[in-house]
Amino acid sequence: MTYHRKSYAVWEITLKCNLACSHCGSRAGHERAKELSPEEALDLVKQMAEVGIKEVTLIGGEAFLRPDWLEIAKAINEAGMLCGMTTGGYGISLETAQKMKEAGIRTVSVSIDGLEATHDRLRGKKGSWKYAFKTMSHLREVGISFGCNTQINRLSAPEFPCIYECIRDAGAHAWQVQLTVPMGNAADNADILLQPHELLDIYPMLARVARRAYQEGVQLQAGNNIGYYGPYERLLRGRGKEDEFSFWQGCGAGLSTLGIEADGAIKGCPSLPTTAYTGGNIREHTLHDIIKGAEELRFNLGAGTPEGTKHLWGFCKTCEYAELCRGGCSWTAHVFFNKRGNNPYCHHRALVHAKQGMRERVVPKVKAQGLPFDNGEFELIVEPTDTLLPANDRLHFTANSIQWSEGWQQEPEFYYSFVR
Amino acid sequence: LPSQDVEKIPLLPRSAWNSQLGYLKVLLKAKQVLDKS
Repeated sequence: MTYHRKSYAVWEITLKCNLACSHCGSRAGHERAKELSPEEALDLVKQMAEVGIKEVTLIGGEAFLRPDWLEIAKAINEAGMLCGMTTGGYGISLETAQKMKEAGIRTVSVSIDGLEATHDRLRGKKGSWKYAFKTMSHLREVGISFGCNTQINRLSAPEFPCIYECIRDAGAHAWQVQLTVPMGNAADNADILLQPHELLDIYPMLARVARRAYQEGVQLQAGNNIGYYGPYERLLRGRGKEDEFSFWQGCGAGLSTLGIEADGAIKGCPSLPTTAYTGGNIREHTLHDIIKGAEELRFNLGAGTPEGTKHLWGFCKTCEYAELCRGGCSWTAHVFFNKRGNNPYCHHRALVHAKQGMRERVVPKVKAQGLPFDNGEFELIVEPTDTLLPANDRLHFTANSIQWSEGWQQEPEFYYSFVR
Repeated sequence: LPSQDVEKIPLLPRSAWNSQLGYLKVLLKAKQVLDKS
């Protein structure tokens, strides 16, 4: 039977990390000043079960660098919640994988952000790609179900079809993909971010790869900033089933999702900026009270009333999907413009502009401060498509940048007809 | 409801929509626009 996620917490149990990713939103590396004690962590597990959380994913930093991480996993399992983990995979030995299995970790997602050179460059550690695949082999050996997750940006996008072949061959059963957005370290490396008009070349590629992944038993899962309402929406959002109602239905922060930072800060979604979206700290309030009362976790309530769309501005305010979409992923919109409600990463929007002979670009305007989960601010430029692009924009992505290996040249004709 | 039952009702997941009817109307409208695009 297919498992459908109902209420879900992503818990950063430490900010300590053994990689140094240039796109890391939390700027992970050193642990936070006051991370939760083992006793506080176990109490939080109990509170999560009480408020209705059914699934918890442990993340970092690198989750396994927290000494009591397996005790936390075991407690989550014993409280009746499904325990998963997302990891950079740099250092999970066969012995550790066996301990994870014994602690009740049911699913693991390993981050793969390119082919070897690109992955190692983005993740700041030579050898991290090789070890990530070694980790997958260890997980497979002990019988833990695993998948991968990939950031799509100007460095990884050209390699996307080849990345798929690597993770498929490694035995991944699922693949979550997401566009890199300007938070944390990524805000300082804006040249690697896709421009909104480049989505016109990203989505046909994504659809072609997704189609094959579904055929070959790898469940490609569209992250929350993949979309919206373009020609491949149902394929990507429906995970290959293309059900007639498989399309984006608004941000789920604080509705079905919780984000927890290692020092006890509670947000409606793990990706949201700390300053603007922290509803309270578990050291000062119960989880029940934060969820019930904090405005920062209630901003998605009120859909279907004027309250539900009053935050929209720019293109999103006038869009025909506005009432349901409500500006797409709140995190993505906020980190571009320092407020949510106008989302430049939208396929439908890029298509509308292209039809009018226009395109959108984003240009850094205000730098990020240098804190975990922070953001700067970008200026949005709308210009005719024949305007010359800035000469210093060397990483410009086009369909011609994509590396289709030999395996893709031999694919059946129907793949092409689908994405045409 | 008796107060102890109120405490047992899980807080999550919760709906963004105040009205199921309102949600379905907006959902259908979006579906129709997407079908035509």
